[in-house]
Amino acid sequence: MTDRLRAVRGHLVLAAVGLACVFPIYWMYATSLRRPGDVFATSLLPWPLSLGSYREAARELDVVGLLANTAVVAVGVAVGQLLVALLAAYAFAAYRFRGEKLLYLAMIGTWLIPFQVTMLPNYVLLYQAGLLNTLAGVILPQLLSGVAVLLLRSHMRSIPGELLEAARMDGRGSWGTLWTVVVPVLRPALAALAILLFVTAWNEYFWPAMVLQRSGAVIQLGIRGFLGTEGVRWGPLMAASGLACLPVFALYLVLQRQVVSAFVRSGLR
Amino acid sequence: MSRIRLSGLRKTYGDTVAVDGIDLDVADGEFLVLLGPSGCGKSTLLRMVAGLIEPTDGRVLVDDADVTAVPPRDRDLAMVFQSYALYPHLTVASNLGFPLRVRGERRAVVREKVAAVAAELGLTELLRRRPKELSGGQRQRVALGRALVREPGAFLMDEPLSNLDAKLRTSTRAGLSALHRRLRATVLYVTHDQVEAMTMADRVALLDGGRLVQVGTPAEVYDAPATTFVAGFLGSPPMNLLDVDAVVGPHGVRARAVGLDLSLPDAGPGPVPDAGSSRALVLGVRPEHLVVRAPDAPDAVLRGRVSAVENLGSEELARCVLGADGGPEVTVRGPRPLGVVPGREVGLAVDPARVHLFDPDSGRRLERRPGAVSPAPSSPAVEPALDDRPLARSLP
Repeated sequence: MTDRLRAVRGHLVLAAVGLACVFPIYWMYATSLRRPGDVFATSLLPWPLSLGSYREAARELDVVGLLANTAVVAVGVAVGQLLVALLAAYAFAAYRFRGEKLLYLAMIGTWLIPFQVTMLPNYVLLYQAGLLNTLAGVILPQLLSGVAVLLLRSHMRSIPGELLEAARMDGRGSWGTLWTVVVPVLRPALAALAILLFVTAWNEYFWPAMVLQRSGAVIQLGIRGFLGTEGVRWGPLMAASGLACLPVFALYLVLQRQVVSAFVRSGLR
Repeated sequence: MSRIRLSGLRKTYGDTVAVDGIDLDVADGEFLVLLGPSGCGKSTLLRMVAGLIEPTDGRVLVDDADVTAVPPRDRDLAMVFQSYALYPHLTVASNLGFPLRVRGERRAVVREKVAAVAAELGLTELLRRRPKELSGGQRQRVALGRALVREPGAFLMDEPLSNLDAKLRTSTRAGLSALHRRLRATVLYVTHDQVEAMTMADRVALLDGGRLVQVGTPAEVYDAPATTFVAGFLGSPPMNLLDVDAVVGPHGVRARAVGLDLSLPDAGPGPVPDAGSSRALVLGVRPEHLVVRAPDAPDAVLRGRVSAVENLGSEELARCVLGADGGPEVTVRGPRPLGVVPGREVGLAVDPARVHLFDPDSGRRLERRPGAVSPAPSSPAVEPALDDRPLARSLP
C-alpha cells in the first residue's frame, strides 16, 4: 500500500513539474493563435482561432530567410563543434602524448572562461579578418566546445580497449577505427550531444547580435523587432517565437530514440 | 601456418619490468600455452607478439622475418580477446566479415568465406543477430570465427574461455583442440587456468614475474617442475613442499623434518647416509603420490595427524599435520574412501622415485645423481635452458 501511495505521489510531483515545463510553451502557441485583439485574454483555450499574428509576423519579417540563416549558423556551429570535439576527444582518449594533460586542461578551460571575457578579442579578430556581418563570423569563433570534448572523451574512455585493439588487429588504422568503430558505438551519445549543441547555437542571441550588426539576420534577432519602445507586440512576437521553436522540436523528434537511450545508459553506468 | 620466434623480448613501464627478456620458439602448427598467475606478464607478452604493445627491447620474428616494427595488420596474426571485443553495432555476419572488408576483399568473397566459417562454427542461424542478442558461448564462437575467417599465419588467444561457465568451458576446450588438430594451426594461447594448459597444449611455457620459468610438454612440467614456483602452481592441490634437513652422501640422501624421515637412495651399492653434516633443502611430493598407512607401519616415512578430510566425489583430500601440533601440513589425495578420520594419527608412505628436491634459496630443481645433490647445470641468464636439461633421474 505504501509502495503504491509513494508511486502515486511521485507521479503527481512529476505531473506538476511536467505541467510547469510545458505550460509556457503552450501559452506561447495559445497567444499566437488568438485574434490580435484577444492577445491579453486569459481564457485557457484560444478561441476563436486566428492566424492574424502569424500574418503580421510574416509581413514584417522574412521569416523563411531568417530561419534559413539561423539554421546555417546552428548547423554550422553544432556540426563544427561535434567534429572538433570528436577528433580531440579521440586523441585524448586513445593516445598518450607529450603535453596531453596541458592541452586537455586548456580545452576544458575554454568552457570555464566567461563569454564576456572573449567576446571583445574575438570581435576585434573578426574585424581584422573582415568577417563582421557574415554568418561565418558568427560560426568560426564557436567551433571549439570544451564541454563537448569533455563529454565525448569520457564516453570514449568507456569503450573497452580490446575493441579498439580488435579493430587494429583486423587491419583498421586510427582514422578507420574512429569512423567504423568508435562513431557507431557512440551514436547515442553523439546524437544527444548534437541536440544539445544545436539548441544552444539556435538560441544564441548575444553573439549574433554583436557580429551581425544589421538587425534581423537570424530569427532571435528578428524577434527582438517586436519589442519596441512603444510597447511589446505580443501576438507577432509569440508567433515568431513559435516558429523559431519548430526546428528544434523536429530535430528532437528525429533523434529522440537515440537521446533517450543515451540518457538511460548514462544512468546505468 | 607460421612459426613465431621471440628473442630477448622485454617490456618495462618506468621502473616496473612487465616482461623480462623472453626467448621462445613457437613451432609451425604448435599449440603453445603461456601459463602463469595474473600479473606475470603473459598478456603483455601476447600483445607484443600481436604488435599492440611496442617492446622496450628484443625482437619478434614471424617465419624468420623480423616484424618487431611492423604494424599489427601486416603481421598476418589474428587475435581472440578475453572480452571477445565484438563490434556491438554490427551483426554477426558483419563482425565475421569485418577483417576481410577492411582488407578490401570483394563482396562475394566476403560472403562466401563468412558463410563457410559460420557453418563450421554453427553460427549460420545467428548471422543476422547483434552481439548483445547472443549468449556467452555464441559470442565466443563469433570471436573465434572473426579470427578464423582471415586464415592467418597464427592465432593469438588471450584467455578466450575465461568468461564461459564451467560446463561450456569444457566443451569449448575440446572444440578448440579439435579445431587446432584439423587446421594444424600455430596457436599462442594465454591462460591462468592450468587445466586449459594441461589439456590443450603441445607445450606449456610457465611465466612468473615476467620471466620464463619452464617450457615443456604438459607431462614434463608436471612431472619434473623446474622450480618450486612451478611445483606450487601446477596441480590441484599443488605439490606439497616441505623444508627438510638433508644429509647428502655418496649413495643417496637422508631427509629429516618434523614427522618426516626419508631415505632417498641412489643407484649403485652402498648405504644411504645416516648421519653427517646436513644442509637445508626443499622436498616436494605430489598429493596423489602419498599413500595412507597405519601410523606404525614400517614404510610410513611421514607421520602426523589428520586435520581435515574433503570429499571431491570420486576422490578424497586429507590434510595432515606432520609430527606434533604446529608441524608442517601436507595434503594427500586418493580414491574415495581414503580410510582416514580427522583427529586420528596417520602414517604416509611415498615412493622415493616420486620425491622432488629443490634448492631453498634459488627454488631450482635439484637433480639427484649418484654421489651428489647438486644444482642442475643451467646458466642463470637463460632460464629456458631448464627445458633442455635431461630430465632422467637415476633411481634404483
